[in-house]
Parts: sequence; structure tokens; C-alpha cells
Amino acid sequence: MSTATLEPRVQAPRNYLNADYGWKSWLFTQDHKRIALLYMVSITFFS
Amino acid sequence: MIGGFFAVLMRIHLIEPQGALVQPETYNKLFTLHGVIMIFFFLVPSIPTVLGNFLIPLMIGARDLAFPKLNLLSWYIYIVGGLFTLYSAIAGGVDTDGRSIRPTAARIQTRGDGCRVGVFINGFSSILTGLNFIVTIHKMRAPGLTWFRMPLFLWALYATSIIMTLGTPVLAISLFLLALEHLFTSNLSPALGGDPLLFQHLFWFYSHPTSNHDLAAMGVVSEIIACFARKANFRIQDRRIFKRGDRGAGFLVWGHHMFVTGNPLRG
Repeated sequence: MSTATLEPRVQAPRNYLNADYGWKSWLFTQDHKRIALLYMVSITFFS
Repeated sequence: MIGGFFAVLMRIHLIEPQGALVQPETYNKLFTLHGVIMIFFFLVPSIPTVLGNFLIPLMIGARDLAFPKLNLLSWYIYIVGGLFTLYSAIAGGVDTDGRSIRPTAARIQTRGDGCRVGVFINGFSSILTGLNFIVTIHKMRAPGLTWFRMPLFLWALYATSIIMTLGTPVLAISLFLLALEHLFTSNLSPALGGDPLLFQHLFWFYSHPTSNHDLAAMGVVSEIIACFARKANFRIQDRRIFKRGDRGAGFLVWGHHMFVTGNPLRG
């Protein structure tokens, strides 16, 4: 008989990145950190 | 990526003295495109919108900026302005002048009108972001975080926001005057009784303070050096006042860009 060790499930605390994943959650966000990332991606595209 | 792509094309072109890649006219157009994109869609918005959006609420102890919806709106305006500029550059072309928004070039070539509208639209993004930052820093600082306890980076961004809010409308007016020039009658051409110097005054009133956007970068540098040198910023009070004062002075010294145009005040 073998014994399996159960790893404790560690859930990352909820933050601006894992709060939601859909594209709508990015395009309609009002979170300043998410908007900063939107700007970072779009400025990188244009520059 | 797009502005950088134009720069790479120009560099490849310059491998040979007579030009390796494009016609001289196209080279000048590449210069215009590179300049327009890198100034209005990279230099002006980059540090305030990315680092400012992310860090201002964290550094003043607020949950978010004062107007989160306005913040998102300014991003949408930025995207619309940027895409409009790119589209009009592809569909209508751009002028071959390095500073294609000056009226002397505009009277001869008007292909750059679409680009100017794109920059006009993008200006509202700058204004809204600047307004948002000013209100946030004024009204949402944590108790005890007085003005003179604020980090240098926030002072730099506050000063930059004032330029974005007060300077950008003047650029919009300049671009609007050019549109009037093309659509109706001339208000800038001396042949028709206009004054091209008016355009230059308006243009540099915006562009001189804006060319000081490197001070936002100096705000970043002040924090990074102090952090990794493990020393507090020295003479911090003076530097705060300098950052603010420099922005104020920036609005008063645009004339030094106009050496060859003559200055009526100096005779």
C-alpha cells in the first residue's frame, strides 16, 4: 500500500491580474494598474 | 514597433552615401512619420500614462485615481488618435517636411491633414490624463502625506500633468488654425494678410514645455538612484521646487526656439 502525499493548495491572493481573465475585463476595466498595462502594450505597439 | 520600424528603414537607407533604399521624398516622409509617432504617441504619454497610472495611487496611498472612467476614456482616445494617424498616413500620405505641421509646408502640401487630426484627437487623451493626475495628487493623498513629504517622482509627474493640461490645448489651437487655413481662407499666410509668426508662437508655446518631458524621466531617475545607492535624495526640497518652477518657467521661454524669425519685442 502506497501513501500519496497531498500538497496543500495554495491560492494566489486576488490581485489586478487574476481578478478576471476575459477580454471584456481588460477593455472595460477601471483599475489604474490594468489601464497602465493597456497603455504599456499600446505605446509599445506604436513606438 | 511602428515608429522604430520607420527609424530602421531610415538607417538602412543611410548605409550608402547616395541612399540605399528609398527615394529622397520617401525618406523625408519616413522622417515625418517617425517624428509624429515618437513624439505624440511615445514621448509625451509614455512615462505619465504607464508609470504614473500604476504608481501614483500606490505612492500617495489611494485606492485608485480620482476619475477611473476618465482614465479608461483617455486610453480609448489614445488608441483612436493613434490608429487614425496611422490610417491617414497610409491612406492619404504625409508631407515631406520634417516638421510637417508648419504653415509654410502646409500651404504647398496638405496631405498631412489626416495626421494632424490624429494628433488633435490624441491631445484630449493627454489633457484628461493630466487632469486626472492633478486632481488625484491634490485631493487623495493619505493623511500626513503633505506636499513637501511627497517623493520627487510625484512632483515630476504633477509638473508634467500641468503641462499636459495647459499646453496641449494650445497645440490643438495651432492645428485647428492650420485646418482653417486649408479649408477656408488664410489666417497664417502673409500674402493674404495673415501672420505665420502667430503659428510659430503658438506651436512653441506648447512645444517648449513639452520638450521638457525628460523631467518626468528625471523623476524616475531620482527615485531609482536614491533606491539603489541606499541614500536619501539630497537637497530634496530644492529639487521639488526646481521641478515645479522649471515647468512654470517653461511656459515663458518659448521665444528661444525662434532665433531666426525675429522678435517684435526685441526690435
